[in-house]
Amino acid sequence: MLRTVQFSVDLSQYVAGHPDDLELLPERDQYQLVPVGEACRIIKASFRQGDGPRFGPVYRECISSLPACISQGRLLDLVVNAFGRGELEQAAPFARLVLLKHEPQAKRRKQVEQGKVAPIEKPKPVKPPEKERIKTWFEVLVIDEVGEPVGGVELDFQVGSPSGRVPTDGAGKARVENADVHSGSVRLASVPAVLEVMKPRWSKPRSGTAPRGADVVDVVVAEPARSVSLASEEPRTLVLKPAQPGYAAESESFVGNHGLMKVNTKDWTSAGPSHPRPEWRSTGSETRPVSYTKGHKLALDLEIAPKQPDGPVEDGSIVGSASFENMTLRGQGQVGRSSATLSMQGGVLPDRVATLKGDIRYTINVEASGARYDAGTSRGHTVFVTIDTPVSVTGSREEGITERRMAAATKVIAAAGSNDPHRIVAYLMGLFRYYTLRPNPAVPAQYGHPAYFNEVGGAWPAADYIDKAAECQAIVRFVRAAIKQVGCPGTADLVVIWADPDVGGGAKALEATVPPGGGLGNRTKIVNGQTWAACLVDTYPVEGKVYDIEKLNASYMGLNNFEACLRFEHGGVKRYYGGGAGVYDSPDEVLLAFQALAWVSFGHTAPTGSEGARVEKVVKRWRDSSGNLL
Amino acid sequence: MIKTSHPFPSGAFEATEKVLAMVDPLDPAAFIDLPRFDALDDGATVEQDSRSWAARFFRAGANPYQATAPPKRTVHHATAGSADLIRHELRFGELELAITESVRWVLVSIHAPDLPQLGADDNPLAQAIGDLAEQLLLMAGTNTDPFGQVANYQWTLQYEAPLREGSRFSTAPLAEPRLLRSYAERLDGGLHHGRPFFLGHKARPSGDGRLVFLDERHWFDGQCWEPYARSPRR
Repeated sequence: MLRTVQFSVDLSQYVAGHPDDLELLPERDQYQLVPVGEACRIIKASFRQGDGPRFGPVYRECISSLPACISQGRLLDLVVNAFGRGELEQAAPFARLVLLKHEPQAKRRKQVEQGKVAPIEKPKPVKPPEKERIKTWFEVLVIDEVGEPVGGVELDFQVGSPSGRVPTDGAGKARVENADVHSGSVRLASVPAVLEVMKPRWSKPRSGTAPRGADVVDVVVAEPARSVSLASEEPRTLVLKPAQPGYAAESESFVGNHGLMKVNTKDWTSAGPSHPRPEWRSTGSETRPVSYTKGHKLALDLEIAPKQPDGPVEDGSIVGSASFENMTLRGQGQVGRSSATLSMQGGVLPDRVATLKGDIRYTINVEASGARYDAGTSRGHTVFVTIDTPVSVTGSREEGITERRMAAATKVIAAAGSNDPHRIVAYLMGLFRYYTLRPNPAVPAQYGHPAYFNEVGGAWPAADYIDKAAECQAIVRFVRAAIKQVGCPGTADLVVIWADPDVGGGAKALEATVPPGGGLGNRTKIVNGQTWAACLVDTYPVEGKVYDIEKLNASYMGLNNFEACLRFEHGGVKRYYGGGAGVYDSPDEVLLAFQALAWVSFGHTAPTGSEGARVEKVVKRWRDSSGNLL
Repeated sequence: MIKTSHPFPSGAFEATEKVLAMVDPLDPAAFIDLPRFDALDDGATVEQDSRSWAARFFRAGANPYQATAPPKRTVHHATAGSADLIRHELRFGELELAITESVRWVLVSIHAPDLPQLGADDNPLAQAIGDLAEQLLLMAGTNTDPFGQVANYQWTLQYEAPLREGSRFSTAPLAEPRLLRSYAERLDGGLHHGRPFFLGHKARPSGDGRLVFLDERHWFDGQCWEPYARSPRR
């Protein structure tokens, strides 16, 4: 561009343009149409009078090709080409008029006044000499983009007299006879009318190509209609092409998506609208996450629309390049005149629990023309990869499948690094390095930490406060809900394990599912007017001894009604995962977490001064005083 | 309130007597103003605990955290014979309430000017005390058991006739307060120094199966939670 400007200045006074661009020119009143011969003379004169030696080779090249340059129009472009490629000879001699701009410069005027340079004659208004007034003809052939002639297209010829509208005949030709000028222009008389003519052709995929050549001009059927320059007695071919700069992805509906997640990323409740379809729209609504079973293929129905209506229907292939997992989705179908839905199938999702995030960029390849279009990008995708179809833990506070819960579950389970359900459960239970009964004020009160008995998501909020621990039962509930959220196979139940003095002498492990639960709660008896309570104790108990039940010290004894566990069975293996505690193969093993089952009484003072409990009777021991199993 | 058809068993009010015996001798001057809970070592936990129990026991107007007029709130730091205590003093209509709470219980002492005098006929006073309970306390509602199941409860206080100074009432005199699976299992009360009182137990059922015995002398510093916080995996 710089070169162009510089050159035009050095041309001293004139800039040439093309008649088609006439209306686009700024300072239109400063331009004048002159015959080509006159233009050549003026420009050559300017070369001679300018600093010819400095631009010698360039001038010579330009001057030698000048008639061709001018007749092609767009002199500036051609001059640039002359500098860049030396392709002036390719210019076709169609034009006979050249637009020149008169830009007198003060310096040149001074030089003229001083007699240093000769004045340049200003171009005079065009008035073709009598000898050029001849009867001639113009002819245009109209074909479509596959080379078939198009009849019934009304063309607007501007060729002096007679100008006006002429329709193409069945062979696609339109001709003006007895024209009195050597150059002119033609354009589609009515774009809507031509679109109607083309509709039958463009409503189905077609094959073929239009010829190419110097006399062939592509005309996109769109407003405003393009004006094409004409030279008399030199037929031109107009190739009608659809106004189709491309396609745009409109929406995505994911196929095979479980579609179970309620739309809720804001809180832990199960409330929220059902999963929407399509999951993505170009109109700017938020992209909804989807969930798929691991190892399945990602698939979707893509709605695609032409950016311009009334284009041709074409066979195309579409490629969606996902920014996650290097995944490519492919589809095939017809695109064009209106929105179309193409089924696309991607690669196999990873064989693990994962959260994939990213965008999908679409490209359409039209088979007939080989054209390739960027069809846009759908952004903000989240694909949760689960073990199987998500399962809601019905009847619990953790019931429900939501986007937020799925995000939490896939995050923690992906970190387990295994598809083995038992390993996953063990990993999740181990995330909670300890259990606690102490409420932590850092956890919002509405969640009821550490029990998480609430109506705003139950144990789900524990996902945000794993480091704050929780009650065993809450840990179990969270783990159960998380594994089921990702469809982890196996049967998971919250159970309590205990022993009763009156059942098998306390030796039998009792087990109850929660709800309704079980345990030793209020398992009391009155002995000599004193209340004895049956407790599972975690210190080696000595009958008659009073133990501290308030402060951790050497004489402290923890009293329990039961042990809470996640009973998980899969692949024929049943295990009991204690909340924040160990892993056991049977209820009997769970009881080994305790030292003994004993009757205790309250209202005593421990040696430390704290409240104490006296062991009245040991019912069953599982460990000796050294902690060894009996 | 209803008259019990069976005499209360001995020891049924051991916990109640223990509370009264602790609170009675306390010097009012030992209760110091508590403008902010964070003045206590474990203030955030204490406040959360106090608020949560107030919400369980009290109707809105009597709830010291929801009362129209801000209550006077003081604390008493534990001594050899007493617990860490919070006291909320507020008015509820014509009633003057002194709510004293430890980490294990909530004691509501009521000065009611229009209360019927003790007399040969228990009914007017029993009726009036029952009305007080209904006015101040959530005598019916729901509670959550150790397994997270929500159940309805309705308290009906029983008393031994005749009502007199030192009389005690309870919704479940046979239930051992240390072993309650829910605070809703037992509410106590009585007449003490001529005033009616109610005593709620902050029962802390554990879904872990653990029986919780919090050291009342270490509520404010948080050490009462020591045996129950960060319990290692067995």
